[in-house]
Amino acid sequence: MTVYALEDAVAGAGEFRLRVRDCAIEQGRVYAVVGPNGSGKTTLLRMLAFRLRPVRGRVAFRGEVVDYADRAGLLARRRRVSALLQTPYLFNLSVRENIAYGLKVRGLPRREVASRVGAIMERLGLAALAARNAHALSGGEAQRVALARALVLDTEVYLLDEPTANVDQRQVRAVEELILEFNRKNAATIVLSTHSQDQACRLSHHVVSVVEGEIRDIAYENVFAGVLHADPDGLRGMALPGGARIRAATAKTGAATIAVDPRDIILSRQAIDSSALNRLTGTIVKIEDADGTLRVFVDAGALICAMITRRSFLDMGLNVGERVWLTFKATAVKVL
Amino acid sequence: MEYITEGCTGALRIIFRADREFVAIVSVSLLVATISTSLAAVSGIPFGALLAHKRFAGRDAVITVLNTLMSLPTVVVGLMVYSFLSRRGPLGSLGLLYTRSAMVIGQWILAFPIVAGLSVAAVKGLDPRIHETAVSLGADAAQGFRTFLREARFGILAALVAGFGRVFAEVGVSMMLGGNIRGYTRNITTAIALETSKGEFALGIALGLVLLAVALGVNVVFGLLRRRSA
Repeated sequence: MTVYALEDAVAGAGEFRLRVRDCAIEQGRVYAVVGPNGSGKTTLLRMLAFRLRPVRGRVAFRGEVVDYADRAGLLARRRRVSALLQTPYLFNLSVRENIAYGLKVRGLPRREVASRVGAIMERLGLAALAARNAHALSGGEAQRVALARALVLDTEVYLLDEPTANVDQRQVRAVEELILEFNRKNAATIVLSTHSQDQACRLSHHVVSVVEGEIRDIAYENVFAGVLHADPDGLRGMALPGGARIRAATAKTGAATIAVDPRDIILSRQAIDSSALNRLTGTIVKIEDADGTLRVFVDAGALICAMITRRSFLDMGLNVGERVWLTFKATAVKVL
Repeated sequence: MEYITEGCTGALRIIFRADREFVAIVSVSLLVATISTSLAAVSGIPFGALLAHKRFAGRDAVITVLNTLMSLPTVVVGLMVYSFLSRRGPLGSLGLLYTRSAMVIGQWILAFPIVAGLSVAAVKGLDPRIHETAVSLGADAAQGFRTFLREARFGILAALVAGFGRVFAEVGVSMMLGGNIRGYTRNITTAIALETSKGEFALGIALGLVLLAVALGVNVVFGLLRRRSA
């Protein structure tokens, strides 16, 4: 199910323009928008929040093209998403009132507002600060209040502009876990921007890279975080949670995040005798169709995606539940 | 010198016994000033907020005029409103001259530029991210505007306090439009003027003390609000 579909959308403030030729945001997925400062990450998020009207092209939300002249329709759509701004402003009110703001403007009953606000404060460790004026908080506390204020809305889509900026290191993990929990439990679609490639890989299903006002949809997939150990042959190996081991041609050791492009993985019924050092086996759990090419997800201890043309897939006569081999070179493993 | 000390002791007696005439005069002042300040609030706060918010040609000129009107001489307002309300004036048929309503109109004209002008300052000093934040959390245009005003609440309250202080202490409008009618339009300032000219100091001093107390209170509150809004 597609949540957003952007077609030739051009938007921006002042001189800056972000051009999105074609971009689809799918239901229940986490997207990380990465890119250097000023590349257009915030512009993209503002457009997805219906805050920025594209000067050209179109934005569709849940299959309906957004009509920016229809104020009531726009407000209704805005209320189906919640946005965390890059440098959030906290109202000159208590922490509790700040977090309740979005629920109150939606006209929710007071009781429900109180219980939901209470729950999110508990979850983010803000309960002790509930009555404090938001302007008296530290940077990290303020960021967590802003995050709570966005997450409490329980919307279909969350647009988070650098959600862990200013959050101190010890709490980054807690915030990340909370974001993932919202994605898993509520099947919420999450688009977040970040400076950290590492965080992008850790949190998202898709990495959207924005460079100089253009979107490049290089989606890092098969991303694994773990520890790279030096092997006797000079290469490195990373053990996956399920027992499989991936070998990588890199000099790096220690904690690392690695990625394998699904196009670099060969899928076969039997083990192939080749120079490739990575040979894993598992069963097909899911097959996704993406315009002529198929994405085959194999459970080889960890879930690994391989890309294959429909033609060769049919030739091989594969199906879900069947055992296959995955082969890829150690040089195909990218350390992020 | 003796009449001054006598006046002072008499004044204290009037205050502590809550002399009926004294109470009536203070009530008129409080009532009229409260109504006129409320009208100035209802009209001046949205006007000031919009002025600070919206960009249009001549906006700076309007703000300059507003700031000039803050120090409008009370007798000029009295004269203006009088000419409209007097029997020969365009609104003469309403029969408002020498009524509390006439005083309210005059005082409203005095308070409006103060409330509106200080509201402009209060709203202009706000963080530019307020609107974006409110809208990103789902506020509609009216809710966004209310949030904006709420963020400026200390500055706006300070504007109201200043407006109240101005009309509570003025004498020109009350005298010219109210006519100092005993038990009806006689307020603190017009009563002091009358009592002094009669040579009766006790009531005048008692009323003067009330005026000073209110002025002190206004300034203390104004200062506190200023500090909180900063």
